Amino acid sequence: MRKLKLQMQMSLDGFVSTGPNDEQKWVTWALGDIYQHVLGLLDSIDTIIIGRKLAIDYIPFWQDVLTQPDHEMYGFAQRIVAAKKIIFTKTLDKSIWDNTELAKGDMAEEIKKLKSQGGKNLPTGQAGMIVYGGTSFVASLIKEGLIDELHFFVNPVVLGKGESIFSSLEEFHYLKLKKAVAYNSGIVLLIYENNQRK
Amino acid sequence: MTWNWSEDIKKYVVDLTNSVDTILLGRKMTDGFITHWEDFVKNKPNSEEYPFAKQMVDYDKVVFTKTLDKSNWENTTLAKGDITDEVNKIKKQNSKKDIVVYGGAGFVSSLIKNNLIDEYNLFINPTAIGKGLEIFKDVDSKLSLNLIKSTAFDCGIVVNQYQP
Repeated sequence: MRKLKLQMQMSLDGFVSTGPNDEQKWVTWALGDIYQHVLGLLDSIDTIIIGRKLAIDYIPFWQDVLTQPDHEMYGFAQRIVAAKKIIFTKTLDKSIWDNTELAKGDMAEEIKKLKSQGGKNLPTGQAGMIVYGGTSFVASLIKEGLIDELHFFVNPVVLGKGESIFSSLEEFHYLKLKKAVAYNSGIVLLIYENNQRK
Repeated sequence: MTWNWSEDIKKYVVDLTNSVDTILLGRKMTDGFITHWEDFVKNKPNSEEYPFAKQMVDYDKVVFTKTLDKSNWENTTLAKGDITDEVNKIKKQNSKKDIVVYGGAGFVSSLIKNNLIDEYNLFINPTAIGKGLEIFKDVDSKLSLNLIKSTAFDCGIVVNQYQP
């Protein structure tokens, strides 16, 4: 079974978004600090899982960055555009983007099916999958115990209120700390493994 | 919470506790807090936690309350005035050591809202609890803090230390 990984920006009080139309102005965009980890994660996967709501903005955004070779996230955009993307949707009938497929069935079953399919063989092992958002899609994945590895960039900022990916949990969810890295920008990277893998 | 603490985090807490000599308490958690540690000192002298319990009992404690008239606890005084005035009065007292607050959530929220906390030691347990009490919910606008250090402990807890 290959792994499903999550990477998200988080405030120090645990929020991943200020709400709809969040432009993530609260995020410390210290690319020099975090970019290697972000790219390393992308190089360990061959498939991106994405909720329909986020896909509509996300995919065109990175396609556009790919037309700007001087963009500071050009390398990221290259990988995002090249990766296979699976869009979870109940409403779309067909995908209008390159390298994308739709998953329209039960979320847990679709994810388990994807996990059991072999990923590409990489020097680091079998390629996994990654999800970056959006909030409610990730919350559903967490609730179902489908995420195997969680990578949080904890920003040195308090939001007070916002959206949480853990708010719909009905029971405690135990994780295993794998690594913590503090960066000069004040960001702390926390990497956890799911202890309740399904 | 992870309570089977590893040696490294025990040392962190010992150092933090040795750096203070005064504890601020919200009225609601005071009785439980003081009773717990007094009972501990009386009945568990051989426990590994005894030195910590003894510090909790011996340190000066200031209870923030609008309703109590007098304190029935040892080493405890009441602060009944404006929270900012009362805390600043304690900060100005002549002591080489600092002040600590452990909770409760409502009292700490008020301290944060009034910008009275000078150093945060946030213990991040490796557990998602879904919902619960928050200490930052009264923050009106985005509050940026400076990361001083982040320490990962063997038991899986990460302590992030921030200053305003």
